Amino acid sequence: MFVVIKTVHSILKLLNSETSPWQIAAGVAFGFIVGLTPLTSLHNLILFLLVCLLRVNFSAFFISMAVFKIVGWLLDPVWDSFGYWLLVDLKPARSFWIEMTTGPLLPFFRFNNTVVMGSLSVALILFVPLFIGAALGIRVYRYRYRDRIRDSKLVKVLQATPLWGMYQKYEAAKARFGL
Amino acid sequence: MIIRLKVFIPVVLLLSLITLFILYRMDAWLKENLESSISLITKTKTDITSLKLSLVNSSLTIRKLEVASKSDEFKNSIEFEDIIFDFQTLPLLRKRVVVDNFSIKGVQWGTARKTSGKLPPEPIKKSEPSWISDLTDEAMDSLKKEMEEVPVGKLFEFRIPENPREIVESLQLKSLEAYKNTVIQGQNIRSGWDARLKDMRGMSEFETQINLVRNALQNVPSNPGEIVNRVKTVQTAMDFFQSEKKKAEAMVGDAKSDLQRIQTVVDGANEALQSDWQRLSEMVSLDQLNMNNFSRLLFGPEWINRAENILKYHKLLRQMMAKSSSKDDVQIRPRAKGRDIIFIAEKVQPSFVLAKSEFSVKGLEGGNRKNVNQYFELKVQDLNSSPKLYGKPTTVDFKAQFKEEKIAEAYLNMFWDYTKDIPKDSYKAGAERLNAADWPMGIPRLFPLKISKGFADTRSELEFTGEEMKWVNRIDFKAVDWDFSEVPNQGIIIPLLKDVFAKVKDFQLTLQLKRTGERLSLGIESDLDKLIQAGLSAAIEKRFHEFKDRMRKDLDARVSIAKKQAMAQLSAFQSEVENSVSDYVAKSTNYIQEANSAKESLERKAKEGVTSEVKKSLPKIKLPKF
Repeated sequence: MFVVIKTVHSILKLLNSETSPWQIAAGVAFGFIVGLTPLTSLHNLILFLLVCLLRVNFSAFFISMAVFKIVGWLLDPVWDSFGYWLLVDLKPARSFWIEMTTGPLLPFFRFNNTVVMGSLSVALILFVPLFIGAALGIRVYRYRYRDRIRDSKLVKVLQATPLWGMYQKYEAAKARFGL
Repeated sequence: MIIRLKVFIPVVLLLSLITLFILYRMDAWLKENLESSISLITKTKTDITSLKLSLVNSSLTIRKLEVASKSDEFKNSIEFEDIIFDFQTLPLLRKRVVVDNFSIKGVQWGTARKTSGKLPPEPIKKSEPSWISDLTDEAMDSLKKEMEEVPVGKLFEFRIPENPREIVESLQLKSLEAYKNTVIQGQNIRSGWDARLKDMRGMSEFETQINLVRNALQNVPSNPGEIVNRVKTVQTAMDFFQSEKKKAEAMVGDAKSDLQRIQTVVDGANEALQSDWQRLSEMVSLDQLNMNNFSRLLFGPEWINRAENILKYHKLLRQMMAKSSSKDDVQIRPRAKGRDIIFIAEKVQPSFVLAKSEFSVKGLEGGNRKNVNQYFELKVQDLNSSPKLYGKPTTVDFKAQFKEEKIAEAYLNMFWDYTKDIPKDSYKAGAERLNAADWPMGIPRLFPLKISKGFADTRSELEFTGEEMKWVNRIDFKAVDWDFSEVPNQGIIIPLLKDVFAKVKDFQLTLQLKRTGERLSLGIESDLDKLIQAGLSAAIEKRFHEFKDRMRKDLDARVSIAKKQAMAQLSAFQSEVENSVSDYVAKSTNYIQEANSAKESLERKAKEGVTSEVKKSLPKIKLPKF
């Protein structure tokens, strides 16, 4: 419960901050790819380096990765079927896949694995829409809903609970010790 | 600015450090993996003293690889000094291992270990995996069941009977029934004949008729008319005899056919008697012990267990090498997550290739390089991880020579062609002067016969084409001594077997396991069977012979009454029916002849009478003289 509150608080804090919506959206989109595809795949290392290199919001990246990891795990059988269709049944793409799996270093990316191929394809297709959608969504939230949510009864009730008080004390202690 | 170098540089540095650490730990990681992989196969501990992977020199060197013995935990079953792989570096970028050269230097057997070679006990698996397919599992189970049903118990229970009457009475004698049946059938036929014989004119009628003929010849008148009347009487008698003869001749045919019928039934009864004797003899013979395939009982059960293990390894190999999907242009390999698709295309190469390697290894006595007591040669060609991609079959030839060892020479030739849809592979192995005591034989607990001394030369050929399999093993045993120490000394057969086996020093054995379609058959042939059977028969024959004589007498006595009745029936029919009908025919024939001659005589006299009457009635005319 504590973790949930912390996560929700982090999301709200992030959304309410002055961080650029594009940076948050990039974090969500990159986290989406890493979360959806098998974590130990080599492309995720490159993505991580990209996240480090570009001005991408880390919190958004990790939160998004954690959320989509659960989604990705649940959808494993779907990725397997979709990957199989792409690799085996989609004949026109065969020569492209052969190139992708035989070139120098490329075999280490395991593009010939059905789950990697299925999940990565979906993640790449949805990357740009998600990136733009997330950025626009954050803007709309900030202009239209931020104040309304802050003043809402639900938030006030939540802030009145003992758990919220404990969380506030925990945050204060962290700040005092510089953690 | 969109790029933030402040974070990027430390991250890259961190990753570089991690990479260096991995490379630094690579040797240890490889060593541990190799040890556990070999241990998984051998089921004993495997130790590697050091392993060095050099990407600069493109080589992997394994120093001192020890595989612990299963039987003695403080000994190694085998120890290799140096194992060296020279590989190509560039293919590694394509995740391929191409080995240019592979060699082993120095091999030793049975060396001492400093630590125990035992592995912690494995958790018990609930079910054994299938070794080829469910159908073959069933076939193997039925073979094992057959082995369990081999009548080994009879060897202990076998007795020579003492009372022949008990055995004769225990058998339902078919001959007794057959003889009784003969008597009944004979009686039925006979009663029919009695009625037919009754219907025939009696001999008195014959006598009356022949007397008429004979009377006709007495006081023959001179008057031709009266003579003609007598001829008519004789003719009537003749017609009677001829008609009776015809009837009698017809009856002769019937009598013969009925006699034949009775004879056939009697013959059947005699055959039944012979068959009864055969059955009784079988009850008092060694045949019930199934000694004609004793080698199946002796070598089958243990060998089938070993064979099953070898076939399991073969299945494992096939699973690794010949895995293919229903689609011809791809191979599919299941992984922990998803499936790996391997495209069958010109451009795609197998991830592991050992194109050619040829080397020899010397076995050292006590680790001393000067004392070479073994010599091994290994030739490997076109070993690879994806035969369909590689397109060439794999061959492995191994040869070993031993000096002052149990085995003199051994070879193993392997051929794997998994490049096509129907995989083919064959294995030829042989060894000379194997210790015969090591050969698996006997039935644990029930009949644990062993060989204590001797040699065995063996040749084995195993061929697979798709799911079809043929495995032929020929073993020539020489100078063997048998060990009966664990066989229970019960009954009369086991002590006799001991004596017989003691004389068998050399014999050959052929074991053939064949899988055709869904059927798995095991054929075991050996000249041992004939030797054992002949030896046992010779030892027990005299006792059997005496008993059989008594039993034969008992059988004859038991069927004698019925048999006598049947034979009497046959002879009575022959003497009474057949003879009386034959007599009838003979008498008719004689009387016909007598009547015929009487008729001719009367006709002649009638002719003479007519001539004299004509002469008398003519006027006396004097003829002129010329």
